[in-house]
Amino acid sequence: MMLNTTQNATVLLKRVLSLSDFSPLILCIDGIAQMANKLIDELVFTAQNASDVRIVYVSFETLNYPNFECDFIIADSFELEKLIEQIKSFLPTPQESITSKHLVILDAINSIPTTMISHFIASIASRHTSLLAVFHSDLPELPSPHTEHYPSSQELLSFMATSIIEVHPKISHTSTNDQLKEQISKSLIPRGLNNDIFEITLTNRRKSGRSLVYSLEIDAKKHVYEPVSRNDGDNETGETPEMLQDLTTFNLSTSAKQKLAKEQVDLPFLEAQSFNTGGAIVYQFEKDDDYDEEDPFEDPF
Amino acid sequence: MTNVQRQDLVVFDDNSVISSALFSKETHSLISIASAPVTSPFWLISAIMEDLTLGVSNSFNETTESPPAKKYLGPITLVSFIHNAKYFANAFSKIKIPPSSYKVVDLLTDFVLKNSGMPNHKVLSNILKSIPDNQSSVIILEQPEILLSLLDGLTSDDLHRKLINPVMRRCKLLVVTTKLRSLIQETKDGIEASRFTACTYYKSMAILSLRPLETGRAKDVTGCLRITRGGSANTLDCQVQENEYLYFNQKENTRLFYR
Repeated sequence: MMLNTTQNATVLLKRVLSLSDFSPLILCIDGIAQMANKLIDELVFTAQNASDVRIVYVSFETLNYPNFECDFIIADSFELEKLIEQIKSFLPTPQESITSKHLVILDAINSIPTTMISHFIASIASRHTSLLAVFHSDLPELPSPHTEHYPSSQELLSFMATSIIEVHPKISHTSTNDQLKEQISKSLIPRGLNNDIFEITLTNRRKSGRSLVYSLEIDAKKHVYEPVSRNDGDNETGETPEMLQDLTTFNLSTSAKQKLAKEQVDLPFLEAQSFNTGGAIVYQFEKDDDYDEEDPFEDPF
Repeated sequence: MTNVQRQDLVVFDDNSVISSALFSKETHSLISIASAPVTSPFWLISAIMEDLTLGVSNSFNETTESPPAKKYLGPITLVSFIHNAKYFANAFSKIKIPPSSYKVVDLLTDFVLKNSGMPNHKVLSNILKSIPDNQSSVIILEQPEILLSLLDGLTSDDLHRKLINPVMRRCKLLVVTTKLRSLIQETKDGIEASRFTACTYYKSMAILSLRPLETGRAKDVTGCLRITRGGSANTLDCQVQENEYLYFNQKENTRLFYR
């Protein structure tokens, strides 16, 4: 994977949210600190502005109709197979030729057993339908002895998804991620979470298999996206000449002149990469050379 | 603490405990009350009952001179696994809540005897049958997670699917109280109970959590009440007023102070 924080991030996010590129499964990983609701609203807003999208909302958590137009299914009213049939009744068959896009939103895929997830997704996904599945990452899970060697739901979904969006709260400078996690693990929800401004980590998988990872900040009220530049640990601990001053009586720092001279030195490995024929062995036969054609191990070249 | 100004209990941004906006649309809302094992949430239930039936929480709110008009006139059902009907009648008569304004479904008395040997789905459907179905009502459900320990093989997801969601459908507002467990005890019941609480948070509009003081015991503070937004998308005309209070339970009333 490569980490990229250029302007391409906002363009790519807009393409993912507007469903411009067909993506069979968009996985959204959230937590109680920042729910995916606002991201779903943003996706629906962007997708509906970009093209004609029909939405099927499959609710495992709420009984309330969302604030956008959609076909609403309350999942707990059905057994899994019936639920698949119910969802499919709102979707076109793969054989149909249609112009509009279809989006199925699952508000908590945690409710589907791990062993049934791949069957569920394979049954719904088609060339006309994209799935947006929300997975709550902070729900405690009881390990099952039957699925001891089977991947977890999150691993399975991350493997299948073409785009993964992890939603994080925008944390104030006074608190840290660890403090937040500690409080949530004790079922204590800190104040000031689930805001309109939040951060996401977008992982986009290309057809080549290459993944691009971007960090962005989203203002869901203003529909504005900004790439987030993170300070790497190396930058914080990088040595500067000032740090070396007054440590010892030796002169450890380098002057500007010395620095320039150092940069101009061509290191030996750079010369070795020029690949001229200087080091090649060139052999020419001479008339007295003894060469046995039948000896398979004799190869003068 | 005696000189510190006493505060009113406010959960929603229209300065109410239970906002009238919750009853204005065709919606179903959930409020979670989570408490540590050493803190009882009964005073909060009393405050909600006062607010719903009398229009004001007299136990806390000093600022209202004359009681406002009642904002909620529908039925209230208290479903409890830890208190019987007599307990509610005694407690509510002290704060002048008329007995006609609420109904108690007692799931404490002889619950195990009545349901022994029955399959889980039958027990849950019997519980559902005992809860009135009224789309405009308020239901207060006390500690349903006890069922995770009482019914063999019952999971948190089953409990939500077969009890919490159907009960939510039967009312306008569901208030669920749960006891927080420590994850250090990683038993099956402990993990399922934690998952149950976390799932309830995801469905909640507001989360009211009670915990004791981190510093230990104090003579004039019982614990800390934190009010935060839950995971549910809010489509109503009211917002949760996030706040943190210190509270002090006294014999007749409870005093709140901003933290």
